[in-house]
Amino acid sequence: MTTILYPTRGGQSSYKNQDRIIALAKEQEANLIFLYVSNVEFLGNVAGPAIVDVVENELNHMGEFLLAMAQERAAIAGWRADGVVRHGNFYEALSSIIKEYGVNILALGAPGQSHAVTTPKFLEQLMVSIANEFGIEVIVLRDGEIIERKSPATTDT
Amino acid sequence: MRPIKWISLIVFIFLVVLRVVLPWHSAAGAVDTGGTFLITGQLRDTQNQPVVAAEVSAVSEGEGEPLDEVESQEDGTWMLELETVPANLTVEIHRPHFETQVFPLSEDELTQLEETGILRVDATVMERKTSAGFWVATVVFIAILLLIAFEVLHSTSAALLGASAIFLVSALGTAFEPSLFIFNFERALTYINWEVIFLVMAMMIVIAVIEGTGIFQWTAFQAYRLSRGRSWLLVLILILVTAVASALLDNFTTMLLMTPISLEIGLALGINPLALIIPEVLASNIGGITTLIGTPTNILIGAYAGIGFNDFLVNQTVGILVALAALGGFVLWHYRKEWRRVSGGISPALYERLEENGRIRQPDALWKSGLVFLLTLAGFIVGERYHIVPAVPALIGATILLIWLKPDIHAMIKAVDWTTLVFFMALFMIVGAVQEVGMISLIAGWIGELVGTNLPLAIFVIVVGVGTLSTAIANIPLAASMLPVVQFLTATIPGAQTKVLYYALSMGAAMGGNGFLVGAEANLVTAGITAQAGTPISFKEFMKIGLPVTFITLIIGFLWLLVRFGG
Repeated sequence: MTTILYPTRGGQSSYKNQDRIIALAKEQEANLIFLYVSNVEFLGNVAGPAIVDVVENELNHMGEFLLAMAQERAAIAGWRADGVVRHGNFYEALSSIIKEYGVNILALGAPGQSHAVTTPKFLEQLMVSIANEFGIEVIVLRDGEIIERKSPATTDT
Repeated sequence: MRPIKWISLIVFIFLVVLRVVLPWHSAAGAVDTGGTFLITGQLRDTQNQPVVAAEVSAVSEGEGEPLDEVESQEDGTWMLELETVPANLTVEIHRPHFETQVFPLSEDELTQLEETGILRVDATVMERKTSAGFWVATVVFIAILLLIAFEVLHSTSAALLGASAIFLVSALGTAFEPSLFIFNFERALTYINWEVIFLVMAMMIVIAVIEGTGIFQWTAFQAYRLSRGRSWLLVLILILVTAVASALLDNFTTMLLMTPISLEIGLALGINPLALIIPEVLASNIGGITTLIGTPTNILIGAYAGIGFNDFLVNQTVGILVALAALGGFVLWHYRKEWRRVSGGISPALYERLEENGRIRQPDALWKSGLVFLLTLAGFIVGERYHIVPAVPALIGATILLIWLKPDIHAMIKAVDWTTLVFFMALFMIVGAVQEVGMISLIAGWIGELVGTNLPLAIFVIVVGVGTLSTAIANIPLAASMLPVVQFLTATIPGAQTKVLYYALSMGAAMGGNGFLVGAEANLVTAGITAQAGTPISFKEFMKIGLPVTFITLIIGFLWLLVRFGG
């Protein structure tokens, strides 16, 4: 059975992409995993180490909540999804989940216009690395549409 | 009567008899100088401020060494002690960054000194001089502000760099050019306000215990329950709750812990979560002004000007409540479209998870730390009557928590943010350097000329001027460097002795942080957390609400201080 992994931060701007990936999973009768990766690097320059631990814990709770919302959207759409929360480096978290769950398709949200939390360059590098390292298909979504596909051998846009 | 009382009575009578029987050492009108001759005086600068640590020496022609040499005290006074009165005597006063003063004593003065044993000379006005050290200290100070503002370096590294540069120039530069001297290490240490360091450190320990209990998250969840899903009411409750939490703890921690659950609530309600979170961060920056411990700038101001917990509470609370009401009104108008959004309500599963995230996690630690915290607050309030500085109850409270709760002491020491404490120490030295070379006096003089003796104008300039500056400049260094300026204005403007200008500084420095996203650390960490949930706060979005709120609240703060202090 195909397993689709969709890392999300759960904001309102990701709802359309969540819905699209839920539809895709349902269409392919695939396992769907939502992944939330928290990172407290932004606190590095301003907060002491003790508060960083507390905030990391809070972000994990927040991640669980955001994934619960995504899972609820899947349930409403008539499909089941799992949620996994990790913290730390995004690429490492992604790699470990791909291996752990035997992921076949990785879906990534493209950076938005004004609310971008990643850059197109980062996304491009990530697609190439994942496709080459794990030999899985990577698709990119924007506003609920698949705008790019990348497999180890081919690239469709 | 017990023997001890008999002995006490006998000793007392003996002392009284001794005092009556023995003649006064000096004649009427003269002072007992113990066989030496005293010359006293006072040093003031052109702004009538005492000149501290000036070298005052008594020199007699023909003598190789000075007859005596002393340093002027905190109040600018000095006292030379001579064994004999020479035929000619000159008093010399040396102080880096001031013109050297030399004045020979007249024959009449020498005669008076010989006859009475003491000579009081008129207050000496020391003229400042613009030395090479002045420019070095000024450039270093501005460079440090820029490094911090543009985040080129961590604020602590920047402050240490500044302090090191000043010491390096003072120590090595003077070998080539003596006027490069700024101050030495001993003098630099006198500028560090240890009361601030210990108060901040103790409050860090107290907060570290409280922050893990879940009280912030519980409060936010209760706000949601109380509002029954009405987002407009929820935001008003959150504004109030955040302001109170920031006043009692600190706005940085408050926002770190309130933001995640507020974001969850906003998303679950189907509204833009920033409509809840941006008002919260604005309220946290305003609410902290109410108490001595609410903001680092208040801690600085309180320690410098001797303004206590009660003073802040009594003199700022009403103004801050009005400012919060104005914030609430503006927020309701600004986000009016969000409040009209109707969601289907939160599903039972999400509600359950929200409730889980909003529960008290360490009830035992909460009641214990809550009790100690209340006692510490009581210590702040009562301690003022007995001249106990706030750092003392805070240290006692922190110690009680460490002993009672027995947390991992290593974890607690880790909870103390040493980088912040080192930042404060280095910053005090840098501000001390610009104070030493006269840059602060110069600014004080300019502002003094601008406002004259007009107190309302001075309040306005401090509230709005500092508020505007702190939209872009880090408010801690800004407040630290403005303190001597405010001290000067307080001493020179009639009516300012109520310390109203210090309250103006407190309001300006904190409220100004609301102008832009980069204006306060609380703003930045809040944006960091919301970005983690795919809801970043853009500079423009923050400014659209932050800037109007800043100026509305600054004006309210100004008007309140006028009303309160009858400016």
